[in-house]
Amino acid sequence: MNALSFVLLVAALLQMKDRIRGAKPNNQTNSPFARWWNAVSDSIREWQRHTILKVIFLISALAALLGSPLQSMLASFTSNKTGQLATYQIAYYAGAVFSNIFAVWFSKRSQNGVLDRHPWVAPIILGSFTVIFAQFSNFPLRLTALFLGGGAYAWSRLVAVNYTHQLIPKSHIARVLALYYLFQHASIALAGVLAGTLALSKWGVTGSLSLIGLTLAGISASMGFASFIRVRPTDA
Amino acid sequence: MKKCLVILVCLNFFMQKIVEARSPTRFASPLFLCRSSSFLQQAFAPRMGFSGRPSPSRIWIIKRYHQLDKDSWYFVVGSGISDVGGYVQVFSQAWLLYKLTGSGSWLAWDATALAVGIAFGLPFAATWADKTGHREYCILSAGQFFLPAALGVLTLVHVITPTIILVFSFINGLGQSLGGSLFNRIAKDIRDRLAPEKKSTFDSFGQFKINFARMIGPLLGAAIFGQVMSRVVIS
Repeated sequence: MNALSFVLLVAALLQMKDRIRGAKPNNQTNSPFARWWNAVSDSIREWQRHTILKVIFLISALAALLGSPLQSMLASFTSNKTGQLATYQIAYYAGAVFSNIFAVWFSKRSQNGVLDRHPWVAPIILGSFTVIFAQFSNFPLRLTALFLGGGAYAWSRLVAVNYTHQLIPKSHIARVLALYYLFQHASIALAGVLAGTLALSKWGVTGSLSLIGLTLAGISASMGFASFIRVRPTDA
Repeated sequence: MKKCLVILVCLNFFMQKIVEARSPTRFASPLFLCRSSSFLQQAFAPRMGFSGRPSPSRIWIIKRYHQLDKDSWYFVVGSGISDVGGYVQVFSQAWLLYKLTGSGSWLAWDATALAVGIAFGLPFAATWADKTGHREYCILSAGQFFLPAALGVLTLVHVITPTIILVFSFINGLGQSLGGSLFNRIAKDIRDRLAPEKKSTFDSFGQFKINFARMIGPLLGAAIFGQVMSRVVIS
């Protein structure tokens, strides 16, 4: 049945007349690889054209690099109790969902499509609660830290997608968002190596997670006061 | 086990079709999609109060969403359910792999295969999505529905091996990069038609459904497989 419906789906799609065409690459060549590379470099140029977007991608990659260890190292803080790990995980993702619900409510304040004009605040919150989670063994406090940390991480991702949709035209949107997701994946992969290496060092798991959180909060706070961050999304 | 896989395959398939059928390109509605689309429309539209009428709902989040148009609603709900199906599938594949091997390292390889598939496919898929538009892309994206079907068949006939699952995970990653790029493009189309003050609301709902799926997908998968699969022995 699945195979038959797939054939029907393809047949129906083939009958369709209307379609949305995007921009073609600047330099048309005969080589498929050259055309593909032109299209990719075209999207990179489009991304680089917006200063605010470069900053947002950087902040988001930082949040992934130094914020994801909070979630990936949870098992080290559970005293070999799987139930506790599950509770921690639920708190983290519940925070992310709550953050998005809050964003829906908060979005009524936005009049021009930009949700958050202070994108460095969420990574500061994430870094701060990473430190609190690592340093305090009180269970309710840790749950709260995870809830708010997960929410801040989700918020930073939302802000990146929001700015990208706001600034990038339709003809480049899939490629620029692909660039963003590649940054994210690469940062999360590096985060595993970073956190694992630090955890094996003299600082241990608790110390390394605190250090990571502190670094994230510090860099984000510094970026908040940097002059280039003041570029507003109206530069589009 | 077998029944669950078949159910998951069908579920995921219909979720994807609902999204594609209601995409903002307004392409022709295939006959076999009309039933599900009408069902959704009749079930939810009167309560949501589309077409500019005030929403009778007392739930503020529904009121908020009511401000968006119908396509936004179809996109968020349809792709959200599809995301849930995707996470259930990722969970079930990992679970199947663990039952077959009993080794945690295979799970790490499985996650790596999926991530490599996504990373490898994204630059090509996104370029394609931007260049060719929706229709051709939909056709090729629909090809990923063969993956869970094939996985289900191979499990049914007991020829599934850990290596095959890894290959499926890699191809699944490629499929996700295709589908993800398509959804991003559709989301941009919908967003551009909204009034400026509603754009960030749409973005918020778009991220909400992803995180909701991240939370619900594994829980749903665990509930299904914990209750049903434990009674079925995998030989």
